[in-house]
Amino acid sequence: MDLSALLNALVATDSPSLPGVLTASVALRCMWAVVLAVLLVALLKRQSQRVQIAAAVAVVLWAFLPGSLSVAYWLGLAFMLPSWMMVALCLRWLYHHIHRSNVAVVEMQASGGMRFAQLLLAFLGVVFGWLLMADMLLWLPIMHSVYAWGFSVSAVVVATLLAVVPWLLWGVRMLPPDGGVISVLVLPVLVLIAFVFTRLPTGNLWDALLDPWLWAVLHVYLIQKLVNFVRRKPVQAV
Amino acid sequence: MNCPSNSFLQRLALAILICTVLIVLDFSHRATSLEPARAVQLDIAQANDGSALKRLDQGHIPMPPGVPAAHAANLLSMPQGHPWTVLAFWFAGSKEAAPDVRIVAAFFDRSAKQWSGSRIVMDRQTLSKQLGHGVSRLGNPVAWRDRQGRIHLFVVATGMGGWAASRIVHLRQDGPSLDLKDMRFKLQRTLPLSWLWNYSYLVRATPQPLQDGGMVLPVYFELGKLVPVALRFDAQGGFRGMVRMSAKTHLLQPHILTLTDAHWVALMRNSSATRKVAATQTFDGGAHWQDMPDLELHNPDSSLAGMQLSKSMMVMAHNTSVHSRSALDLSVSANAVNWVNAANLASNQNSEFSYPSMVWVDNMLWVTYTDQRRSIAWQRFAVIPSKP
Repeated sequence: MDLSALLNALVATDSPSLPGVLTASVALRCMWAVVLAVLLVALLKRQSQRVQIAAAVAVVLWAFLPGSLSVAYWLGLAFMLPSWMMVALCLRWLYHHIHRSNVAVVEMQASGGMRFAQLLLAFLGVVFGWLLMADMLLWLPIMHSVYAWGFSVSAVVVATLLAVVPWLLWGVRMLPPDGGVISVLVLPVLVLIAFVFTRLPTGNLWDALLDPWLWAVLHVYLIQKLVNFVRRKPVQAV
Repeated sequence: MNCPSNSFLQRLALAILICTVLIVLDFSHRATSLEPARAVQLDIAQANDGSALKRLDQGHIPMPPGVPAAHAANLLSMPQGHPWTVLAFWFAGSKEAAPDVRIVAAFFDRSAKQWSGSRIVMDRQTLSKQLGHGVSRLGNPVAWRDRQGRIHLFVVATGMGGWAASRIVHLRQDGPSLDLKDMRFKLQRTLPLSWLWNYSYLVRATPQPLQDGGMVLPVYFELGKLVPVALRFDAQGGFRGMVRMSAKTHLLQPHILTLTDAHWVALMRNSSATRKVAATQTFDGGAHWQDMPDLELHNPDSSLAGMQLSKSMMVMAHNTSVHSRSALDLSVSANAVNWVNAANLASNQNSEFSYPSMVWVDNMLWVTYTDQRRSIAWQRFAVIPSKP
């Protein structure tokens, strides 16, 4: 393959790799089960561990009930599948909750550079979500679709290169061996790995990295950070 | 990731390794890029500049018993030697967008020379079971037959929120049954077209077959603004990307006519106050599109259908009234820009005739349209060559 053919292959949007029907159907229930279970445990975090486990198990079972009895049936009707990033953030929160890691304290102890990078990641998520929304609602004065670019190899290349930058800068400090906090800066690489192997949720990289609900949550997170900064209160963990 | 050393060079090496492995794995999942799209074109001997259309037959396709409403039929031509001449798909129920609307089909029997009874081929419940999640409403079936003879069906399936929450679902015939009673469709996927939960795309027009065995499926986005989009599929029916067809944001339901295998014109329904048929064209098989000036033809914000019969004859079915769908006509053109009225399909001041579809098969032009939202009317025409 010569260089021009390689470049064409990189930017082409006509060779998407999409998930199979069975994969998508199973993932629909699994991914929503994870998100809902973690959300419920977060709401019940002041309750006893037994109550939290029971609630999580109940939600997971609810997601796997047949047909319209399943909560995933209705969530899928409205919202299709969540992004891998949403699932990863939920699992990260659950990991720390189980290990009783005090995320707020450890994040305070993280370097200023890492904290800034986490904020930057959230900010980039918000900005990119606005770009995708503007693209969808035809606010952009271009004929090319930003969403369609998510089907290309070049999107994976760019996302991968950006995702490894934190590893280059902070290395193993993102993954403390003593069971401390896993930095969110690890998650983009894990999401890319999950996407490349499964092509979930849709075969489009943007759907794997960001979904509209996560985008909304990032707005709340950034606004909270801004308010705390203005008031100069202790930082609250996500 | 838990590398024992913190040196930057080692992390750089690991980062390069991770990037390389991910990108190679990603490449390995993908099919090779397609060649530029080139359209399959008809070349009907008797279809030339000045040819006339002569109506041969007409009627209504049988409806399912007790079903009062029908709309948006799409015709599929069947090959020579097949027991059926054409297969028609449409949606029927108590009314448009009702929860009981189903996708219905009927065929024209080649030997008996009559329409079969209609049968339900897809409903919300069956589709929901295959998808694993709910479907609020069904509508707008569009069919395509691939080179293996398998029928692909694209339908609009809505999520939460009416037609604005529309998604396009791709189904494919399950098994080679020639019996409509046994015709089943198996889910291929919901087409990934939009970041906002895959809203708000609809399908309406007949696909344009390509020389590589694939096709281009004209669809449109409808959420506030309206824009036509072309989807490409390969010979196996695999989704291969999307291209916007217009920079304007008030056009929908594009229908492709081919002037050459790479030069196509798409005529579109126009929702703006100009009330004229809109047009866009491509010179490279749909890779890039440029808007054209609106045609002189009226368009009362209604769907049209068209096809190319030869290098010098195209035919279009469209509503010709300014403000209503009370008249539906056939027009012909040599260049897709200048059109001449050729035949009246239906007209009645107090009625609606809309959503035409057409195919060429058995040396005849077959046309269907919705008759007052109650049934699907059909007509067929011969093309009479102009005298030398």
